[in-house]
Amino acid sequence: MLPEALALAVRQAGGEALLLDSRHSRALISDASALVDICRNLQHAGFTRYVDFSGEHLEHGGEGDVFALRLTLRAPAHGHSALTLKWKFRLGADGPAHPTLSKVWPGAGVAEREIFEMLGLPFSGNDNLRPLLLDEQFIGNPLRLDFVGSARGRTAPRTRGAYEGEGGSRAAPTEGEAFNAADELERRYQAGVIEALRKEATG
Amino acid sequence: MIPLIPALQQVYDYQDALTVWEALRVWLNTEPIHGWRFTPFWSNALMLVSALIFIFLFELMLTVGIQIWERRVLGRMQQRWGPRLLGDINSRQFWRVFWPIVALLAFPAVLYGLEYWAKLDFGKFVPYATIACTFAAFGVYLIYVCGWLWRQGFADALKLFVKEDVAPLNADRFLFFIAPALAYLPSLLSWVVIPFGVAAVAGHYIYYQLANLNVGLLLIVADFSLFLVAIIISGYASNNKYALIGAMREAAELLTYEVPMLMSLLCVALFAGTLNLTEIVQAQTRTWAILPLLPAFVIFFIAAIAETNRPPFDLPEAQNELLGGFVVEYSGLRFALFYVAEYANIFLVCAEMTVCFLGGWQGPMFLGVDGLWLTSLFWFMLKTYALIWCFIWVRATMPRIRIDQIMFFSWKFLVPASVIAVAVSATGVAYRHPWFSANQIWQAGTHANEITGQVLGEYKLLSTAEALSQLTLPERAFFWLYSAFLVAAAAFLIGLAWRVLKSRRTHPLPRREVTWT
Amino acid sequence: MTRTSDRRVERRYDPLLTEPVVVSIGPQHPSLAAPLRLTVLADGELIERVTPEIGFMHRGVERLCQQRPWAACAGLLSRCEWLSGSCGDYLLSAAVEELTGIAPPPRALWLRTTVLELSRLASHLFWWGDLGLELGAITPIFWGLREREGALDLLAMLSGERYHHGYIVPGGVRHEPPADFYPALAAYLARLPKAFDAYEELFSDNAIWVNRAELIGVLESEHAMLSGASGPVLRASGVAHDLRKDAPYAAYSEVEFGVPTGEHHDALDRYRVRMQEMRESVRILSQCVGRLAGPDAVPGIVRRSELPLAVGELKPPAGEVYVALEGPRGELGLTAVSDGGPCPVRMHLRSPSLYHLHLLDELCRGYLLADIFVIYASLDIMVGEVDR
Repeated sequence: MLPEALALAVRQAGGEALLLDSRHSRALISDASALVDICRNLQHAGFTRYVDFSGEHLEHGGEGDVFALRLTLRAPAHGHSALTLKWKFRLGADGPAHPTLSKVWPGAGVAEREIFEMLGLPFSGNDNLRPLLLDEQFIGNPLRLDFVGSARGRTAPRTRGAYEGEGGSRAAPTEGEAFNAADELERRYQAGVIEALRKEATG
Repeated sequence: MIPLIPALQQVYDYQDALTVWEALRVWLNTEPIHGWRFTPFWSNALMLVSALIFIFLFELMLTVGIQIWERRVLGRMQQRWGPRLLGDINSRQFWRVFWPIVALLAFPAVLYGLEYWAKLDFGKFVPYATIACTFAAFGVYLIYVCGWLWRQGFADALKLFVKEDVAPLNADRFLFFIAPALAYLPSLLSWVVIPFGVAAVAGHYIYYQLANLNVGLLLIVADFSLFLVAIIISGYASNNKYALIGAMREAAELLTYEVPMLMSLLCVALFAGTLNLTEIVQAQTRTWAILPLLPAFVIFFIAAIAETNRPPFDLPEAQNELLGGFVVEYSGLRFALFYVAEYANIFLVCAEMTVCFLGGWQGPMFLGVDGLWLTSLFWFMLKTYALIWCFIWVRATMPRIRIDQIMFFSWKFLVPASVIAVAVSATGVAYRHPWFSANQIWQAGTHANEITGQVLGEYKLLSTAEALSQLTLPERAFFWLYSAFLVAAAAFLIGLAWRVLKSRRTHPLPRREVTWT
Repeated sequence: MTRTSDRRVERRYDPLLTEPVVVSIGPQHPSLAAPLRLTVLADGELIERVTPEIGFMHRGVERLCQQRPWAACAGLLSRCEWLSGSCGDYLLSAAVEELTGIAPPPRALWLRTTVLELSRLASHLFWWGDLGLELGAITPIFWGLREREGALDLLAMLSGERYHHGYIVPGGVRHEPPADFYPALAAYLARLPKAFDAYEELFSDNAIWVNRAELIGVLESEHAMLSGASGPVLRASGVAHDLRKDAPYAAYSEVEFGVPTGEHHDALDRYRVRMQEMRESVRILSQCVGRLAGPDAVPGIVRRSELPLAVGELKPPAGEVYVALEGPRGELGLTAVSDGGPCPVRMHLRSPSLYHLHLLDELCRGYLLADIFVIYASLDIMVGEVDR
């Protein structure tokens, strides 16, 4: 079936195949609006095994954050050859939400919980977006570019493309814009203490 | 069949047979301390207190001892040497440690042997040497065994005793307080009736037994029911839903396994014709009850493991989700009482098996009548500890059975089997099977016990051929059928053991196979 | 999803209107090897729902990898899957090699196979012992750990470390094993089949274990594949997939071994599959010994020097790659994204136990409370890689 039928399936679904290999193919989907249909088509085409779903924070900007999402599947009928789909998603304040893939592959629902808590990217349609690994009171999304670490030590905000070989450098966010989880927690705690004292004073 | 020395048949002539309680009473009545006269009330009180203290201390040492021994046995079975190096004593140097005790106990034994077999006469030296060597052996035992070998166990016990007494906030104080005592009480009571051995002293035969109850067997069974009530009380009084769930499971399991236990003891009672434990021991003179009652013994063994909550039946108490079951809220001395009660129950149930099925303290009396006090105790302890070793063996081998499977196994397998065993035993009694001692000619006793006025009967033993000649045809048919069944059962068990020792599969069903690609 | 032959219990009409009780197992529990919380909603003994809560061991490995040079990430990944310590090293090495396009020399492939199979044996031996312990059998844990010590001694002979070896590096393996490694390995392999026979006699044939595991935790193949199951769990559900056969890495394409699958898809099948896998590992290792020290040994160097060993010097070119290996628990994968710098941009560990743990809910429904531990042990969950 591979690689021609795979290329056909991906193209029909609106994507673009990058690398087709009998063992591991990569495909880039430029338009993620019909993502669920693409996934269903791929499932019918033979990719019934879900393997992995992970995300990456690409851009942090005023227009919204851009994430890269990678979904890895395997086709049991074709010797379990793998396919990694990659697409980019811009999370805007008033833009559409990312659809959930948990209706297609239940295992993806677990990974969506982790992406949500690590990157702050919600998946509409997934009811169970409780934090997976982090504490419920944790503030911040650790794998974001602007996450500056915890109360123990301050790590510098991560910069990308500061090395030769990668086209385009992306500027690091300034100190004023960086979101410091420790400061936020401290601020909320102080606010709570002040609130409690005020209540006590007024009786 | 025990190869008895014919001249010792007089052991079973129990005129002037006393229990330890009665012997002590007799001794106190002879005013041992000059001028002090014990009224019945004070002698009773003194004997009761000393008996309780003695039993408690013995149970404590038993708990510690069995626990340490179990760890060493498990270590040997699991092919690891660690536990056997506990304390300063390396088990590989068994003789380096134990030769004083063995020598001190062997010396009077050798003297008794010489007196009996070589007909020498050492006069008063022998009893004095016996007493001196016994005390010396006990002293060495205290220092070596309790001091070095068991010091870990005693340290654990001491730690439990000095812990802070904590009770849950909303627990029922009174029930929380009495539950451990109520769990410990039955084991204390049951020890009163077990005959550990017999001694021939100054013309009397003294049984190592505190009370020769005519319903001794029933007392032991009733004590297990009391243990059950104590568990329910402790689970409820903990004010903890998990403790309650664990207690309910435990209660269900104990209740379920009391039925086959009771039924197999009923077989023993039918075999012996009495519930008196001393008479049950004497009823096994010709043949131990295990031979005609082999299925009842197997049923009782399994039910005993379940009753004492030993693995593989310990899901209610060692379960992974309820972490201790009904004892989860108990700590310190209260927990120590439960723990001591558990180990006392193990010893008790193994002693019960010895008394009822394995002939009690009987065995070749290789030291003559004067050495009876030692040999009877030796055989009793040997058999009891062999059974405890089997308990430990089962623990090392098997995983836990799930609670519904435990119940299924009892209700659907053990209870029908034990009912059939009771029916067959009753038929044996009715059809005068010669190996059932209840069928032997019973002679009414002629001598009354001086103290209690109890008149015990005696058994007159007929040989099998003589007894067979007196049976009618259906009775003879039953005898041969039942003997054939027993031979088949014994052959089956021996064959199974042989296969296990030859390391071949014993599981009847084929092992689950995987498919290969 | 329910079969007529598995032993789930249907909820009966309950006129007493009893309430289900919440039993919380963990996070500290004598039965669990690592902190994990299972909240069980049980109607008496009958399980209605099992909710796992994870994250007690979350160390932020993925974020830490972004702040460390490439070679240092091996230690972090190895500490996620600590029972088979070389899997993390292999993932990183494979990712770097695929990004740079440099393949290790043939002798290194055989050495990698040896180390990976020894890690698999170590992990399965611990799994077997722990399974017995969770069920109340106190002997398997000692025997399993005793055999595991042999494998750990061999790995320590190779690398100096028992758990986190660091022997597999980008470019090959660190160095040639010492001369006494091969006889020691051969002696270890000679005594393993007898040990496995003893294990099967003790535990696999035990009627109590078979009754507790038969038709418990039945997982259908379709649902397993959709949920992300892999490894022995997937194979016991009837899907004959092994990455060592379907997407061979290291020297697995030249090794003969079988792939066991199960027919009944229950906990007992998962157990049998892993027991047979242990024997197949011994078979693979025997072939490795032959190809490393025998007459037809593969000659050559064991590491390509183009990939520097020094921390901080390794800078794979930009790109992204997903590499996977057949770990003892399933498909252990790594998504690595590079931008040419000394630190990776994104490392995501695909942990098989994460998806197996979230299968626990559906697998446990309708069974009894005591079956949770049978099912949990048969899934072989490693909390270190679940939480990362």
